[in-house]
Amino acid sequence: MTSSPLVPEISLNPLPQSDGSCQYTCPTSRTTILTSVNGPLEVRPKDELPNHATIEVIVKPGIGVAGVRETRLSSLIHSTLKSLILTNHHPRTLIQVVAQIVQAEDHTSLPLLLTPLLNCTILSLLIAGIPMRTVGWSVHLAVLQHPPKTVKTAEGQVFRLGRGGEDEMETEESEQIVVRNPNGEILGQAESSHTVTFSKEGEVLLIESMECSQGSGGQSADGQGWDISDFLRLAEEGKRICCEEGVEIIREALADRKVF
Amino acid sequence: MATTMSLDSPEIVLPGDYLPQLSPLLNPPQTDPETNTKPRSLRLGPGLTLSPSTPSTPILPYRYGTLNLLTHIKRPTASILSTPRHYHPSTNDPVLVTLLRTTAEQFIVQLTPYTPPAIIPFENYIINNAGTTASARKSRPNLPIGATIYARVSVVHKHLEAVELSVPDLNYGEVISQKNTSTTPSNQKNSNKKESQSTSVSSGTTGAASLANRAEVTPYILSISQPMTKLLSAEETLGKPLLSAVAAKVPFEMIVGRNGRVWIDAATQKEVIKVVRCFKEFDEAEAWNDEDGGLVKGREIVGKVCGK
Amino acid sequence: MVSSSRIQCKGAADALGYCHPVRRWWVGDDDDDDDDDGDGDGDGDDEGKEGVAVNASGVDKSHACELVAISPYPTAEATWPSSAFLLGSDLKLKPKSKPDVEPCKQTTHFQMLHFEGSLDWVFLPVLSTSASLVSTKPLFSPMSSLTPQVDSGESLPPPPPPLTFSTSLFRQISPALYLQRHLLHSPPTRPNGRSPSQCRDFTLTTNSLSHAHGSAVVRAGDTAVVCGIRGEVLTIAPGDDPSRFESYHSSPTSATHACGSRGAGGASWGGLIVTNVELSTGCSKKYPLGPPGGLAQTLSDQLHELVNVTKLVSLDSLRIYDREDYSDVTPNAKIKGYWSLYIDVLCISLDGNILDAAWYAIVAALKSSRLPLASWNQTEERVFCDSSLYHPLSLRRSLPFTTTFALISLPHSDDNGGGTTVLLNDPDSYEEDEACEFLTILSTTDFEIVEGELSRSPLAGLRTRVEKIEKRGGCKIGLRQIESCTHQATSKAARYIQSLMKEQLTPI
Repeated sequence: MTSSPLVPEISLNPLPQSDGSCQYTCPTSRTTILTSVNGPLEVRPKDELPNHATIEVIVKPGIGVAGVRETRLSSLIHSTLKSLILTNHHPRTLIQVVAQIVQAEDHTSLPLLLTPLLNCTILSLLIAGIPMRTVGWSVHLAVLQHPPKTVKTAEGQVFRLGRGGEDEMETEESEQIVVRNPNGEILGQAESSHTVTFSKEGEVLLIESMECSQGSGGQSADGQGWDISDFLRLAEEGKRICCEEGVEIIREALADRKVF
Repeated sequence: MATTMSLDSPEIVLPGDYLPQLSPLLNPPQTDPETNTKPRSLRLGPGLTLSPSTPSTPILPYRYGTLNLLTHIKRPTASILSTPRHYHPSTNDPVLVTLLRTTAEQFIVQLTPYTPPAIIPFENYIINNAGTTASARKSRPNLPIGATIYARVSVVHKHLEAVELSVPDLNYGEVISQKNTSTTPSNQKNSNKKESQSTSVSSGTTGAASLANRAEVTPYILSISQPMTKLLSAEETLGKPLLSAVAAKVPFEMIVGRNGRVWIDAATQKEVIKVVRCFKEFDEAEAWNDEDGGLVKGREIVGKVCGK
Repeated sequence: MVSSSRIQCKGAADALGYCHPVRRWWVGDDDDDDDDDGDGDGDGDDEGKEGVAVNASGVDKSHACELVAISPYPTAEATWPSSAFLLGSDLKLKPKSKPDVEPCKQTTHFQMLHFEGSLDWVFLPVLSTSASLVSTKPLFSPMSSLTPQVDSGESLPPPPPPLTFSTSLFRQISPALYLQRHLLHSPPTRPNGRSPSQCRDFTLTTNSLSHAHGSAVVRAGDTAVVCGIRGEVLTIAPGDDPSRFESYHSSPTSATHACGSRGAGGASWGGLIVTNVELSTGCSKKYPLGPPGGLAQTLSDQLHELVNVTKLVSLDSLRIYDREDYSDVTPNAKIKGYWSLYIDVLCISLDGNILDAAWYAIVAALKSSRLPLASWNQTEERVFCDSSLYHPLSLRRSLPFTTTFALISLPHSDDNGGGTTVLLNDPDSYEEDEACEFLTILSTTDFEIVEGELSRSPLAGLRTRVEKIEKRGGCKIGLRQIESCTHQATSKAARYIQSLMKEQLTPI
């Protein structure tokens, strides 16, 4: 496993009793997630679907008890998995996914948690051998106004992206500064945060983009927001990262396991 | 059955990957000019399915693994080799099941925990060479709750409620320990190294006699993961490092069921426990992923458990 | 007589389909279990037998056909009779039994029946000797395939005419197909009559709740939402640091607290504005009485995030300073407390797209809310509110609004080429059930309300500014489609602003 700072630390099947499990650590923000997938299992009659498998996602927080934030995270993960898993292979069964947030820099920040949760879940589904239509990968990008100050960034983490627009001149202002896998500090200086998930074929599975500039609100917040064409450029770059590098990370992680 | 074991690392196929080598085999030409026979179209084994939604890539792998393409047999078959930890029943798998209860027409048995129970209809339970089934009341074996039965999967389909098993001949049936009995069926091999799969059909006297002789040894049924099951079933290839290491220290007898259950019997209770612990630790360490196929780890575990 | 719940099992073309649950019906009582030979004399003997009806029309008299029926429930000991017969006629069918199984006794899971003749309906009485066949589970008959073996060169008679339904029955039986047929028209129309890019008309009423500091009621089609805002004074204890309350308000992605633990108190987690969504009983049949389910919790979290991402409310207007005269804004004035806003959204009626309606209600309620003037009293060391003086909240000038779309994918057809997708603006609950892919865009318009008039904001750029995009579920949407959705979102936001204007929300 290469120790490039952009490649997450992945440990496959740390839980011997579950059907598929994975521990994922984001290299920069040190968010660690442990997921476990079990299935196909017997399902409660009230949750039974006649032609499909029921998918159940449970997110357990690092501190405190599960609240509305965890329900939202599970519903986002559930909708992504529904388009990846072939549920008609095992009708009237249950596929149960449990994700435990082991360590997070900031337990209340949704953007920092979403990407590791999705990636870890996809890996453990692969290990468990649940029938899937394709694989997907997720990446978290933050757009900054200026290069990050006083924060160490790894090589290759920061890159510049030309803004969308008619003029093709690449001046300083016409470029956005994008940081991949930001940690909490960088996110605090960012203008906007984008979590994008793409399948191997380039289909869009999930987008969670939000404006996150600092400020005390009210009239000072007028004028915030980004342009849609900038976003599309960013999404294209995210697609390239997911489809090429993300799938490569998956292949490398699985290559260590024997198949027979 | 897989033709090769991949110790090196051929290309990993992920779900949704395009497999160009399979598309021409789907629709073969009418007749092969050389042999003048019509080649049959490709058969898809586990791991591959047809996907009508993407006409350009009709064959879709749905698990990760390596592609296993067999073209030298009568009908070319492609499948994805992978071993998910969860057992998926498929026809003609030999399995080791536990009896839960008996109803008027079948035995209800547990195939794996967390899945609905499977059934063995009495008509599918053959008790003697003449092909008599267990349907008639007097020929029905009187199995206690919790008895172990070695059976074969006969019907499985995703829309059916229960998996159906059968006991088609004398090689299957109730599993009881046969050591130290004088009236044993002849299909049991005795060797010092390791015993191959052998079973016995229950009959009242034999059972009682064996139990009387070895009242203190209870065979153990161990639950293991699917990769470990494949390893133990492939005695000469995959399983050789571990099995030879264990059998060198402790002779034992085992029956492997594809559903992740292993029945282990040995001369004394301590030896049974030793074998069980060796297997269990090997399984939890996933030692087959090591470079040498688990040889070093297997010896280390055996040394630790059985003592030098 | 046979009840009307018969199922047609089609011919060989349908052989791959496994989804025809065969409904069993009782034609009378079941005391005829011992009648094994099953020969009937037409209608009279139909009574008392349970069976499978197979449409065998299209099969010519002289062709020999095979019928394979598989029962997936091996517990059922179904006994096939020695002959099946045509409903209402004497034509008999001879079963072909397995050689080593007793005739008329089928205890395995399939039975081959060989019959000859031209038939419209083949009725196969199934005589059950075990109670398990009388279970409530339907009996699946996956492989009823009729494969005519043509002996002579005769052509088959024409297939029977298809069944026809009324539109309401069609919509109930097959809602997905109903919706697709509508959208495949040109121009595509939705069953509720709108075009795909057309959103519902909405009405807004503000300040209807007398005990809330601000309120709004929004109706969009059949979705109705009430939002009430109540402010509570939060006094800071003498040793506390005010920044701990402000941190989440300033940086919406995180909440780094000095105190550390989550959930330590209502205002310290999640800042000073707390949102709560409740789907009241009776709003929809999917959400019965009980604790908030997944949708209500997700919505609460989403709206909370929206309030903080958009920074609608200026933090300064929530602070309570230690000064007597409010016109004197000294930078060194100490913060003695905060106004904590509790935003409660109650959904009265749910017909899809509650997020847009709830967000609009929140914006309108915030705009219309009037908090009493709060000041710090030095002598009593408490915050006092003036019951006669009210002031509005200081909000952003350019208000952002959300627009939600649902994506329906249409099947392949020769006209379309591949499958296409249609984005439906402002889906109602029927369309939401059929779609699994949703897109929500929060965007800001160029128009703002300045002194009661719409004016072009000095900050107006030439492009639409987007502040949040959320797409979940499915995989069919393209990035270009998101761009076109943004333009639709802009025009919807303009309509929202106009409606707000009409409410004459000018500060006192």
